[in-house]
Amino acid sequence: MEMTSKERMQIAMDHKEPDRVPYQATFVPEMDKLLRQKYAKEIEGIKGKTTEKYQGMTELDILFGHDMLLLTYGISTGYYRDTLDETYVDEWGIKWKKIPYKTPNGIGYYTEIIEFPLANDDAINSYIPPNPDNEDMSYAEEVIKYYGKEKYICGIIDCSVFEALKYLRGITQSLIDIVANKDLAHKIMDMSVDYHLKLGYKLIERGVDLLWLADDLGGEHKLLMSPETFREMVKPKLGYMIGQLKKKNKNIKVAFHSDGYIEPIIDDLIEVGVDLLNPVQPESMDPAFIKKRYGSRISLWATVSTQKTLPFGTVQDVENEVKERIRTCAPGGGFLIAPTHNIQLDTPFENIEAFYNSIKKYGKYPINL
Amino acid sequence: MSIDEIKKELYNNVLSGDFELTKELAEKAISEGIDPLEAINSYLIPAIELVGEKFGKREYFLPDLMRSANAMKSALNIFENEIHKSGVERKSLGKIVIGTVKGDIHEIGKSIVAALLSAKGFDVTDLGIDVDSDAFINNIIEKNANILAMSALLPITMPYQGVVIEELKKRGLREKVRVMVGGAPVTQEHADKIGADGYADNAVDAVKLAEKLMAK
Repeated sequence: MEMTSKERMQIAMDHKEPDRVPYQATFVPEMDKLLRQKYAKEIEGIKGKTTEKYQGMTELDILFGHDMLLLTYGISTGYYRDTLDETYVDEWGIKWKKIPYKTPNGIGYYTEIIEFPLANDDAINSYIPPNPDNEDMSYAEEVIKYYGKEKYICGIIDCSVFEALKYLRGITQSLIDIVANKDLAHKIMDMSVDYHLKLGYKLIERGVDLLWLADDLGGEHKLLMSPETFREMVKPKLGYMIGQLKKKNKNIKVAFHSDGYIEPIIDDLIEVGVDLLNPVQPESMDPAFIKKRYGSRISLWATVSTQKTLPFGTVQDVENEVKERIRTCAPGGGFLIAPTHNIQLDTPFENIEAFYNSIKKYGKYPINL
Repeated sequence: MSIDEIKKELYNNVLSGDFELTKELAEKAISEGIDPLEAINSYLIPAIELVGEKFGKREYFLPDLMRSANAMKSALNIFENEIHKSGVERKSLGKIVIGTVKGDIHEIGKSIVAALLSAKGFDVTDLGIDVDSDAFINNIIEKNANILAMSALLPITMPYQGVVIEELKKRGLREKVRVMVGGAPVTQEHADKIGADGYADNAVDAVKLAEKLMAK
């Protein structure tokens, strides 16, 4: 009998080799819509998402055979909202603006924050954060009820530490705060940690296998803050969160995302209990080197370039990159192959197909490439 | 605190980025009769240049750089006011209008460049973020600027740097102002393509570029 996705992921997360390399992908909302139109017949009858607020799993996850399904919760859900308005305010009081861009596949939107609710130093004194009890858990319950036995389920409670400070104070101010305004920075980050920790407990109770934290700490080739600042201001909070989550359920795994170059703090992430590192952006760090150096202690997730290869490469480029990642990162397990970010709207359909086809072609264990 | 100690501490606190202390020291320097121009040239500028160097060598990171720039600005304001009060003007290296282009709200890089330029002695008008062509051009005319500096942090806003240059040409102003561009996705190739006079990869090089453009 074929292994289920859940078994496959569990084996891979234990740094062992399952039947094949597990994979997964996500899409920007506009690409998600295009693909759902393109495959309208194929996805008919597949149980997918029921609410537009969350960007988690869709019918496409099932159609494409993704081994892991995502449930998106918390502060980062403000980034995309299904609204026709140009601007909107989320439950945290953060005002977002949609910024359009043109691609051969149509117009897409990124969002930018244009009003930060805690920009003034005094604002925190009268600020009432949202209540985690207001998050709609029925979405997680439904997905887990339908797919929880077969699929590996990832609950997203990301952007909860430094990223939350950025969202609430502004990027410029948050970078100043963590070195020159530390008390306030702690207060705001702790508030967000409490919120997302409660959300994490709720997701654990519903039966997720993995919780995904994130804080963008890397620039393309350099950390955004010094390793010392990270260790003083951010790491203890990550450690606290992960410790509490694993105390709640010792089998829970934790993933951590940061774009860009973060090599100087990978040992710190391992130390505080991160099991899975995303996305190991190949423009910033060599996945093969990261695998060699850290791969026995942390699993890797993603590594396939959404910045260059998927949108701008040829079908052959995509195949070459997938093959190379499998060759260098898959042996011994501990590898979930995926694009390094949402697949972007300007990605040719052939390249998306090539991504999946190449995984099928090269991803069978044992790897002999 | 002796005069020598004040000078040394001024330098050290820009390096460590202590805003309050740097401000206090600048005030103390004035009351002790330290020449404000000398304070700027001999302590503030060398300190902020070292900060830039350390940033390049990955000893300093963005928060450290921003903190130092803020501390330096606090002292610079005090010294410049003092120079102004004495009836002398600090010799301006040139007038620069700077901003992040329309549709783009990224401010950090642009603000650091602006801070370093004004420390060096340029007369800087910072128009902030999301600046459209009219605002750039009106300010160039009003200030009689020598240099226009434009930042863009997104591939989708980068082309707007070229739009502004085209608009300068249309209004017959292109020959009157040097144009420099920067921002993470911006390259020398892009700068050449849109007809800019220069591109710099980081804030320290941006200051050098501005000096070079003024010498032309």
